[in-house]
Amino acid sequence: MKAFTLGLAVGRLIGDGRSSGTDDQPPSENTPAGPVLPESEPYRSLAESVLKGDVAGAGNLAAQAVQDGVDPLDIALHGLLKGMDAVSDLYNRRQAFVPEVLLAARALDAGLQESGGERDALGRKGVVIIHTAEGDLHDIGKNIVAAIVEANGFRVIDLGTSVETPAVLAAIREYRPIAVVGSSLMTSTRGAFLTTADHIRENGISIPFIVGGGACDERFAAQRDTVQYARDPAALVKILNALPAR
Amino acid sequence: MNAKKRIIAAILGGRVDQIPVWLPVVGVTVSMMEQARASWPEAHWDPELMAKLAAMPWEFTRLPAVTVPFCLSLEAEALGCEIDRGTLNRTPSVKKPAFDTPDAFEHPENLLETGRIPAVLRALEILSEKIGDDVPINAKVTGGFTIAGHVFGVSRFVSWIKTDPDYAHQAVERSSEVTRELIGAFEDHGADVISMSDPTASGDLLSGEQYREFVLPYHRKIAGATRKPSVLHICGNTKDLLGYIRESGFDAYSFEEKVDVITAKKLLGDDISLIGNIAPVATMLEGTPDKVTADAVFAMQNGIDILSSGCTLSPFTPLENIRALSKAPEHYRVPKEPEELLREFVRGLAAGVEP
Repeated sequence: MKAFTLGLAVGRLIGDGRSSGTDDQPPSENTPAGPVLPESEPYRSLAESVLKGDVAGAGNLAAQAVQDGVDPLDIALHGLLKGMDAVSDLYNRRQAFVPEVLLAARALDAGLQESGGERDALGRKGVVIIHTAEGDLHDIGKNIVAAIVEANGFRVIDLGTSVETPAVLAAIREYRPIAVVGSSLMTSTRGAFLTTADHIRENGISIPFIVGGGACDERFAAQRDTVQYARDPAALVKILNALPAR
Repeated sequence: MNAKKRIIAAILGGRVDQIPVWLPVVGVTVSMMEQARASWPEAHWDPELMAKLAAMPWEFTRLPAVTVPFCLSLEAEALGCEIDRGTLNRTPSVKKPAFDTPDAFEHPENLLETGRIPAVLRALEILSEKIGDDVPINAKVTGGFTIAGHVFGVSRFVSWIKTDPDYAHQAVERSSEVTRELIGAFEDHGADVISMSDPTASGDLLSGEQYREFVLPYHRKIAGATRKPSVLHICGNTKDLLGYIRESGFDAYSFEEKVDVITAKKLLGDDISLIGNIAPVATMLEGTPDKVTADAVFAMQNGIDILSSGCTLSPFTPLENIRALSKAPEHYRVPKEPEELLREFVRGLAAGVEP
């Protein structure tokens, strides 16, 4: 039986980063993807607070950083989001689970709120619309996917559960996303995605529609050439990263 | 052996003449509804229609899988959650949570007279009287962790594991008391088997340790209080949970294709019978009868004790695939000698499963 504690994994991440020293510059944008925490302060502590799901800590550290004159966008991009990115990576490797991701997302929110960092400014890679199929009221998978997609630098517009096609079309017109993401856990609801994909095309809109959740698979997605399947959040992020920004 | 004896023997880890096919989950389809002239959503509320439809897998396809209720929202509705009634092909589901905190949780004194529960009790009686000699009447209940997700909201409830562990425990404990009361009533009204689905306690959401702390104690209590053969169903990838599920006290564990049979056998040993794990979407819904047979033979070679869809069947599942599942054991002979068993196991390994 593989015994695991998030504490251990977090400890390992934090330990690894510290051993390589610190500097006063924000980490480079070229920092490789994956659970690499920033080395310099205050970014390191900000990232750690999100990674640990320390909601109060993330808020306090972000407020302090603002007082010290750090740019709110740097607080978000080089601190808070790096922590969320690390949690996403642990989740993909089954070393963190839904409670940890939810709490980290809450810490991220608290930090963003205190620093006054506009969420919208974080969506540097483009907007992604997310929803569950009409008739499908399961939201936990969608919420996790939303948190992970956001941590990867996209702005997420969450339309909620049981979303009808007209609402998806309206959101596409309003937000000009780079992709629409749909989640379905019931085979009796997944057919709504095909209807939505058809309407998107009939309205002259060209946009990738990525579906996932227990009821979907590659075979289902193959019924429309604009629909792709992502088996987990990591696969989704990979697809999104390959899309041209809008 | 008739189907009932064979299934109950296999759940309890006993001797069988062939591997039984049975579902601890729901196995009715839209074509069965048409045949029975009993459809969702009405059949969720009307005991006569419910019994008529629940008997269809057996009467129409010879799949001895007779299960009520058809959804996971029975308990949540009785506890005050707002429910979407569903449609012809979609089960009722929870629209809104009922409570903000465990302190607000109210276990109705007249639980058994609340919501659809009286209809389910009556349907069990009808089924037991009508076909209870031939097939086991399966009463499905929802596990406390999943009920807690329904009545408090999944995101809020699951967050308590990190922010307010006491809240999380109270939420599961109180919800589990509802499950326990329901099980007692179902047993009194004709259920032969109790199957508890707890999908929110999945390895896709929780770590093994979180399952051990926040789920296992309540599963043990429920299994311990159940008088009839008992089955635990948790779908998703539950590999990290299996070592603890082994200690849950349930007689059998039902799982989906994300867990391969060899790994399940290795981690659960002979302490708990294995039910599964034919893919409900890729094989049962989208596959051919030949694929169903091939997957079923593979599962039997690897040591499955009861052949089943890994989760509730899609209402659009083709009848020929259900019939293929029912007939699959004819393609496999239960090994009698240890050498024969070993040969089957190695054949399964050689067929490409990664242990």
